[in-house]
Amino acid sequence: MRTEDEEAFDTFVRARGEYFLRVSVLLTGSLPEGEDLLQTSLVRLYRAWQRLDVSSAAPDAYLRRVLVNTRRSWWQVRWRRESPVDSIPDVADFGDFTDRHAVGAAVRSALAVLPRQQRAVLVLRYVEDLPEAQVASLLGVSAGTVKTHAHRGLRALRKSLGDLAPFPVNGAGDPAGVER
Amino acid sequence: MSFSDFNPNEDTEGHQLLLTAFATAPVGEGVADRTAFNEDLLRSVRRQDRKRRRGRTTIVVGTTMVVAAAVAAGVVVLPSSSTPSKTAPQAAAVPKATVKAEPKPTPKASVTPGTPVTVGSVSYSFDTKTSDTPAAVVLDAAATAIGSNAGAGSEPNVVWGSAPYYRMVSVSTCGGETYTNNTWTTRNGNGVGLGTGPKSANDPGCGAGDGAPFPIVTGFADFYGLGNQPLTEAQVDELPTDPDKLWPILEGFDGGSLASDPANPHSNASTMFQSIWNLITSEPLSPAFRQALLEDAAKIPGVTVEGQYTDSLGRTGTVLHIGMWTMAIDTSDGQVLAMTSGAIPGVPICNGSKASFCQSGGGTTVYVSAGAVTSLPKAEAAALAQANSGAETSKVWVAPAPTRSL
Repeated sequence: MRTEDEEAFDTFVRARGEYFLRVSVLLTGSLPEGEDLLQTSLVRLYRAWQRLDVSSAAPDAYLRRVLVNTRRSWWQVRWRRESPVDSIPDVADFGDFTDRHAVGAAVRSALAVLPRQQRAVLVLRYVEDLPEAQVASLLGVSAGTVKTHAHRGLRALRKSLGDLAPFPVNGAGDPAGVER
Repeated sequence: MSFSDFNPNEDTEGHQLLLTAFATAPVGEGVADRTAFNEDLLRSVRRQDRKRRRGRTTIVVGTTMVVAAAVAAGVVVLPSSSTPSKTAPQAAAVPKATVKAEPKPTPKASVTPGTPVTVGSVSYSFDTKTSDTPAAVVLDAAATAIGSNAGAGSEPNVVWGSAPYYRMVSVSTCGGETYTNNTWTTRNGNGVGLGTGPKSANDPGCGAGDGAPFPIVTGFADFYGLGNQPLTEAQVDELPTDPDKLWPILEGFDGGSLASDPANPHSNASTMFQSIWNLITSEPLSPAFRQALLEDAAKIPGVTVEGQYTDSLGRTGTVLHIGMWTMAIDTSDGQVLAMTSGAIPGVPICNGSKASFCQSGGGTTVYVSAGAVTSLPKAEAAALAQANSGAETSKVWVAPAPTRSL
């Protein structure tokens, strides 16, 4: 790779590394997995860097697609071993909900036990702030599916947050739960 | 900040909840931590890239031989499902395989279509001595055989590709335990499963083993695709069944990079190879499409033929290997007999992640029976109806709990 490309890659990682680490942590549900996902994805970005036209478009979009696809391919390794459970695991002790970090921890705990695709929709839609159509394209599903996942994912988060959730968990004809 | 601050508008609520989780994720405090992390990342990326370049040279001089010899060390025995299993390495003394080494029809496991079964124990052996046989010879033979074969587990006279359910019975290891899995999958990716086996104390991602049918609600594109490209059911149906037309499309799914670094456990070539089996062993595809997939699998660079697979069900097959995947196929009928992942000593799956499913070694699945069926047992039918209705349930197919809380 040419020196100027190397420097541009370094600049990108220094500017966006932390941001995409946070995204990776939310996509995977844990810091170690998030670090692994980001590192693997950056290696792929590095190898493709010379082919990218970074002058006309930020490499964010490419890295975002690699993150989603890499996460998906890892998932295939274990999907047959996933198992049904009677209920989702207990989330962390929320403690004082006036503390912003406690709220964040509670949301992450609840997010981590959502189905993979639902979690990805929530992260891409509400953290990355991507339009539904773009989320649908990234995940290979319809815009309607994205809308459904977002709605059900938020409802499941609300349910997991328990009695302290700000909004009613169950509306009429709107049973709560976790599903794929 | 408290929850009472959140706006009931769903989009606003979503942004507030997720951005709070994002902003407070413990990824290092302060500028110094973040700077150190970024510099570590940059060093690691370049180290891995250099390793890849060195590895590419080594392939030519026989990395495959080294890997194959290492894998050959094990004969793994799966004991009764009621007994926790332990891997029991022994020397494998199976004769070196050739494609012609499977002339006699081997007895198939007897499974009544539509009926859940329990497989008490299956022992199996992958002989992974390197063979000079080209992978294309094995896969082309399997492709020819699979064309008209509906699968040993099919109901009599069922029309392959038009039956509503794809039935699979498999035995797998996970977290040191053994599980028998009965699944019926429909074309939309939904299905119903019946798992038997103990709850694993070692890995929360392993089976629950309570013996009750549970709905599998996946959505096709969630788990199926080719290479790194997720595909919907309709997109799969649109793919050509001519292998020569299909191949450039498969290459295009991974940016034309299937030839790059095939010995890397996580290469695009390895991922493509695995995804083809994932599709073939999970879905009722048309005979022509299965045949095309097998013929194109033969074109994936880096696939090697190794020794012979044998198991206690009386089956033999040919062992194929690439990256982190080793699988066995019966070339007399094109059926996949078993697949194991991450079984290369010293080569962890997931690029060395400390996550539990990566540490557990990926595991092995023995496909006992597969085929097309037209009916379901009553309880399973009810569970499948539930899956297809979109109704929610307290027993759902969810990800394992995270092993480390944030």
